Amino acid sequence: MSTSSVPNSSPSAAERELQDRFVRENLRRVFALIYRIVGNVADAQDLTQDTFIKALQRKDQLKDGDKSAQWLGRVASNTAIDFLRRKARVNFTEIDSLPEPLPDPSERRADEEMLRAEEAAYLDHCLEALSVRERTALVLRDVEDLPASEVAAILGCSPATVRSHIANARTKFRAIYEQRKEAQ
Amino acid sequence: MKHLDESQIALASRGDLSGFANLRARLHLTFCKTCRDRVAEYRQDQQRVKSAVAAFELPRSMKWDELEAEMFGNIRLGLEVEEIHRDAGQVSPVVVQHEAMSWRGLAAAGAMTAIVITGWFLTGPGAQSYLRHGPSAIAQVRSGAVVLRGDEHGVGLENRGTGLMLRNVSAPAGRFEVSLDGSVRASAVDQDSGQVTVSQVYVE
Repeated sequence: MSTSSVPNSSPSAAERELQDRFVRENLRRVFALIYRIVGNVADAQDLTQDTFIKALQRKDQLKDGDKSAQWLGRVASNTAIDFLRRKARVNFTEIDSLPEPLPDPSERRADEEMLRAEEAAYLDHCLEALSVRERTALVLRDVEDLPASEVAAILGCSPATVRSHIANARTKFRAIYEQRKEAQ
Repeated sequence: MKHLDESQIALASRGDLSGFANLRARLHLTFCKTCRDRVAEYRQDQQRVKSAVAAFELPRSMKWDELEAEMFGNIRLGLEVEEIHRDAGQVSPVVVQHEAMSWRGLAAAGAMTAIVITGWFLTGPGAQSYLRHGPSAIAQVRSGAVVLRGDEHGVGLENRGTGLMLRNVSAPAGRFEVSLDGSVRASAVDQDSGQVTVSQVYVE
């Protein structure tokens, strides 16, 4: 049991327990989402922490378990996308036919691939072959299950643009996945 | 019959086509098994994407358990810092300073401060007399024979005539917490830098 001197804005023990449980239940999912958007562990770690601190300051949003998890996904997406914008890495409003330079999967995963299942490694490769904007739109729509209109609002582009990102992402993912089947 | 093109199939797989295009695609899919099969493949891909995102791989040198524990601790720390800043009537610099100082930097700076202060007072003068001659306690708790106490200068403990103190260097403590299981903690906010120093002593 602990007590605090005044003035203070400390959560009660029950609130702190609720906060801790909320963090434990959602930490991996939020980290995975952000990691897929920003593409590296260090940034994903910082942004995951920022996401939870922002979210936990809005205690009213934590009452409904399912809704709060969904809301947390939006906070996480916005945090990651704001970060990318600040770093000027990506402009979600542009559609161009030129592919962005792809990350070199071998650079980060040369050793890892020996340790993981072939299928999982190949799915990773399929995702990494997408541009940042395609991958972000795909993750928000197909993993976070946000409607396309909401994905557009988060990415700050029109619904038509976001549909184009989503379509490109799905067809590219499918094409790369099919290449593997044909190679086998 | 003209089949749906690849983009239409991809979007139709989750109902993402808009307006008339959506109606036309649904009608077409009612009659065209070829396109229905292609839609089914895209739906399988959506499951693949979900599993790929959920089963992310960290670099080999990293373990999820350790990363999780570190993030969990930093989130708790970040929330505490926010609370301390609110109590001190300041807007928290944590988010604003994101570019300037990472979480790891902040945590490391806090740990280093604590180590330096602890080292000085364990060997420094006056440690034994602190509790008897210091200013009035703001927070105090007794655990067995040990008295833990916090005042504007920091936190300390005394056990049968000997003691130690963690003194706030940059600013007077603005917030105290005592725990009945035997710990006292003082938090101070540096008015210039906004940096928060948390000093804590506890009995094991």
